[in-house]
This record gives sequence, C-alpha cells and structure tokens, in this order.
Amino acid sequence: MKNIGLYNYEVYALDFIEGKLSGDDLLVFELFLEKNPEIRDEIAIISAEQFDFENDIEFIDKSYLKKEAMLSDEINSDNYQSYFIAYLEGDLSKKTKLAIIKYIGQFPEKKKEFELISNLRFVPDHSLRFLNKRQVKKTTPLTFLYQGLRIAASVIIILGMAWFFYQLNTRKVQYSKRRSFVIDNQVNENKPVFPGNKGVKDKSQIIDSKIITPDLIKKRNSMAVNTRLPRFENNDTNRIKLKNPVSIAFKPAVFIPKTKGELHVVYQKSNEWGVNDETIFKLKFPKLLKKGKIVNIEHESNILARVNYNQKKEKRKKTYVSIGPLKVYKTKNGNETSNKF
Amino acid sequence: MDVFEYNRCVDRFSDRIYGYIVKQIRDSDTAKDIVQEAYTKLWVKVDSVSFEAAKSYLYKTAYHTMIDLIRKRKFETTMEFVSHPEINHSYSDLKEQLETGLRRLPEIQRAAILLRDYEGYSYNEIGEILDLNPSQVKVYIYRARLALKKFIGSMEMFL
Repeated sequence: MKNIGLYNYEVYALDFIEGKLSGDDLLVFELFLEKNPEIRDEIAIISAEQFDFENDIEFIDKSYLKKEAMLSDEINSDNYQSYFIAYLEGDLSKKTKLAIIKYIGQFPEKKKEFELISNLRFVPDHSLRFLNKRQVKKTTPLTFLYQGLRIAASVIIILGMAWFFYQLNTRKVQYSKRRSFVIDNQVNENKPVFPGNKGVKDKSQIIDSKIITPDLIKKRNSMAVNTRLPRFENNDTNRIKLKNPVSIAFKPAVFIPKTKGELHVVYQKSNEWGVNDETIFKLKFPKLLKKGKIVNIEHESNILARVNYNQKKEKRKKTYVSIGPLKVYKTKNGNETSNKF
Repeated sequence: MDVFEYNRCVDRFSDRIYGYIVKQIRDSDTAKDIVQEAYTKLWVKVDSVSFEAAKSYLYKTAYHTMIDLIRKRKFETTMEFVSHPEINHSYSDLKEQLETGLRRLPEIQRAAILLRDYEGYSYNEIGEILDLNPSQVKVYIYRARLALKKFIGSMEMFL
C-alpha cells in the first residue's frame, strides 16, 4: 500500500479531483483526507474553483506519452498542441518531427502557436543569490590547518620576496661601489678619508675616483685572450691609474668570497691593460678584509686589482667574487701609515 | 563526500536551489530557511551522499522541506491564487506573463517544469527528486506547458 503524506499528496489530489483515483490509491487517499481535514477543505476549494485554463486543457492520455511509438497517431486539430510540446521536450523521433513540420506547412496558422510553445521555457534568474553561504559552510580542524598553512605559506613568500629584494638592492649598492680610480694626486685636505674614523682623518686622503668606461674593460678583456691572465668581468676588477709618484694603500672595503683565491694588485708601467703585469702584492681571501697594504709607486703607472681563484675548483665552477670598492688612500707626506688598516 | 566537497556544493548549487525555491514561494526569507535546512540535512548525510549525487539530493530535500514548510505555515499558493483570482493581461513581455502563469500552476507542475527548464533534468531525475514516476513527471510537464500556453493567450500579443 502506498504512503500518502503532506509531501506527495498533491500527486493523488489532482487525480482525485479529476476522478481518476481508484482502488487502493483512492482508499489510502480518503484515509489521508480524514487525518488531514484542512487538506480536504483545500481540495474542496480547488475543486470548486479550479483554474479556468486548467479545465480547458484536454486530457492527455498518459499511455501515449510513455512511448514514442504511441505518438504515431495522426496529428490533428485535437492533439497538435501535445505534439508541439513533445517536439519542444525532445520526445519525438525524427520521423514525427518531420510530420509536425509538414503539419505546420499545411496549417500555417499553427506556426505561431508552435513558436509560442517553443518560447515557453523558464530561464534561471542569476541575480538571485543565496547570501547565507558562510553560515551553511562547515569548518573542521583540518580546514583550520589548511588555512594556517596557507597563511604561513603566504608569510614565507612575502618574507622571501622581501629578503630577495633586499639582497638585490644590497648587491646593486655593492656593484655601484665597484669602480676604477684615476688618481689625480691632488690632495684634498677637507675630504674625510675614513668616514666615522677620526683617528686617520688628518693623515690620509681618499682619492677622487672615476669609473672606467665599458670600452676600456672591453679592450682589457680582448687582450686577456692571449695572456695567462683570467678574463676580467666588469665586476671583477678595480683599476687605479696613477699620474705621478705617490704612496698609496689598498684595502678591499667589502669582500665576501665564496671560494678560496687571491687578490692580486698589479703594477703596470704602460697604459695597456693586461700585458707586462707585475704583481705588487697579493692578498689571500677569504681573510682579505682584515689585511691591507701600503705601496710606493714611483711614476705614472696603472694599478690593477684582479682576482685569481683556486684553479682546481674554478675548473668546475666559476664564481663571481665581489671585491667591492677597492679604496685607495694616499699618504699625506708619502709615508706609510700603519694605522689605516 | 568530505567537508571540502560539501563546501563546494554550497558554492556551486546554493544560488540555483535558492532561485528554484524563490520562484515557487516568492518569499526570500522562507527560501533562505529552506535552502539552509536542505544543506543541514545534506551535512547530516554527508558520509553517505556522494558529491555527484549531492545536487539532486539538495533539490529533493529543498523541495520536500518547502512542501512541509508551506503546509505548516499554511502558505498554500493555490489558496493565494483563489484569494486573488483576477487575471491581469497588462504585462509588458512574455517573461512576465510566464512568471505569472508559473505562479498559477499547481505546485507539483511548477516544481517539475522548473527542474526541467532550470536544470535540464530528465523525467527520471525529476521523478526521483519529486517522488514521482517518469510518466507522471511527463504528464505534469505537458500539462504545465499547455496551461501556460492557454494562459498567455494568443500569439499576436507577443510575436
């Protein structure tokens, strides 16, 4: 026996109103109405004031709606609307569809009705939004874990990017400090030598510097091809050009070596880079930062600082080494100044 | 279905189900309650309902919740129709006419035709949601379309 409740009684109510309910269904529905008198009243109202348009609808034989084969009756003025709807619903075979098209051709006045029925479709209203999604959604400890991981990942990425840009900026500053110098022998007494170091201010001068042009670097590198000297990169060397005899001191201000090697300070008498180099002194790194050197230069010459790496390691991997600004100091009276380094 | 799939169901289906219910009862607050209730029931059965079946389950639950709620609150829409039987033919377009015609359909026909048009469900799927057999669904949909066609009237008004 079927169950009839508030959730499905309408199915039976319509058949009941139309007198199509029989047998067990009718009995069960009557029992349901006895238990629910308000539904009985409701059905009485509906029965009394049934929709006009509903009453006008011809009875649709359920049996012929079940199967396409049952729709093989000839289309006529009594059933054409059902055929039109079946066409719209996609329930018809190609053959029957053709029959409908033929029928419309025979009765052009039916075409408008066919078009009207074709337009009887409801489209979802996308402007309607369910705004209580948050209340409906569920969270679990796992959700919190994932949220926490997402937040942590975001923080790590942000910090990583901040660190990266900080490093990039720092390196840019370092690279910008790498330069070659032209010593003009003009001592500027007012210029501080060691900013922040008052003890040496009156004993030495920092020499005015000038960046050597890329063309000069290129020329030097082209000459290095035929020599044993390593090919210099723009960032690898600092160069100083002396015009007159001076006593100078060197100190690599910033040096962060990642491999072992030597910084050679090379003395040249000619103006050509890379030939007849004579090493004045060499400093081993990575302890380079702690060392310094005073050198007496007698006449016009070039001073070149170049980096030699540990050859065994460099065969496998070339490492760019930052030697930073190679600060050049000229003693005031041409004497050595031991307190500079 | 896990909690993430459940939440995905909320994101993907709640608007549609809400629209489906609102179209039938024309009461946004009640529709919200119904949708919320449907999701509550889904959550109770979250382990036994797959993500693929969740949409149908939500429609079905929402529909039956709506029916129950209507009965409880005596919001029977056909009663409403009876109390406002006048027919206004001064609508501007076919869409408005359809909306009005929809409100005048019996509840079961309205539910069936909206599932058919909104979601493109088959007769079988609609039958499962509305607890009907496919033939009944088909009959209700046919009746609904005929009723709408009758209601809207002559083609000359719109075409």
